[in-house]
Amino acid sequence: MFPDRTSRLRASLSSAAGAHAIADLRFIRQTMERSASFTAVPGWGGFVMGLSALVAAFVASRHSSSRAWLATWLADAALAALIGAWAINRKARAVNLPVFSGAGQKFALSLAPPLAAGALLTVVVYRAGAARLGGRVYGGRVRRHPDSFRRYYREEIWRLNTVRAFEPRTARLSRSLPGCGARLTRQQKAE
Amino acid sequence: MIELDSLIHERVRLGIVSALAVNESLSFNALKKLLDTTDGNLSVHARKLEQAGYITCTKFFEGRLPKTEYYLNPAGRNALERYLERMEALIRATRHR
Repeated sequence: MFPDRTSRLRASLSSAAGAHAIADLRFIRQTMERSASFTAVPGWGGFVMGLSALVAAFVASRHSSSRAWLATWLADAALAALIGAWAINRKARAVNLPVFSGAGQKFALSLAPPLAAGALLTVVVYRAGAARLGGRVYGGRVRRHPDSFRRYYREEIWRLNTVRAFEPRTARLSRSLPGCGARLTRQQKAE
Repeated sequence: MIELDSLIHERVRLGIVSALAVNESLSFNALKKLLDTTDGNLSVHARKLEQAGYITCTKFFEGRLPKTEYYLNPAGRNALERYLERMEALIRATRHR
């Protein structure tokens, strides 16, 4: 009877330890999930954002003027940001944490600058491009009022700066493209 | 019996180390909200972990507000990994009896 009792005691002790271990692991996982849950827009949020972009692409393609095209995309950018914010908010409520707890704040702060910079650059590139393309593509001259000279000058500085900002990337891309092409043709030859 | 790291066996301390394992750094307030604990409790436990070299604590001012930010050290990450392994072993031992 005695050994039986000790073995039973040992069994219950070890199963208690096991249950405790499982509870501990669950606690660790929950803490990790809760603390990191705001580092990303949930998947379905990204899906809805993508859908809005498809609609925007369709609408934008039907516009003839580039100004309307730009307006469509900028409106979609704002809409996508709203969808993202809404998705994050829902996710936060599901795990019962304030949206702007540590990780949420960090996420918003790190996402906002590139979004804003992207929108700003789009406008700048559009304006710079319109001023240049207007002159080149349509064969006409960009009409300039004397008083708008300063504005033109300012735009030109913007354009040069954006070109400089993008140049390394395009240069890298144009360097890697011939390589890709060569590799592809070599593969085809080998086949 | 498998010995456990008593330093992170405690709930709040385990919570701090777990949360810092998946975040580069967390502020005192973020940890407090996350673990649903009090100022005093959190600071005592955080100091224990800091003394053990598991976490690093930096204090600075944001305007006039003092801010405390916590980071996980390699020693703390190792401790959490060892702890998880022991828990796994415990569960395995219960299942395979």
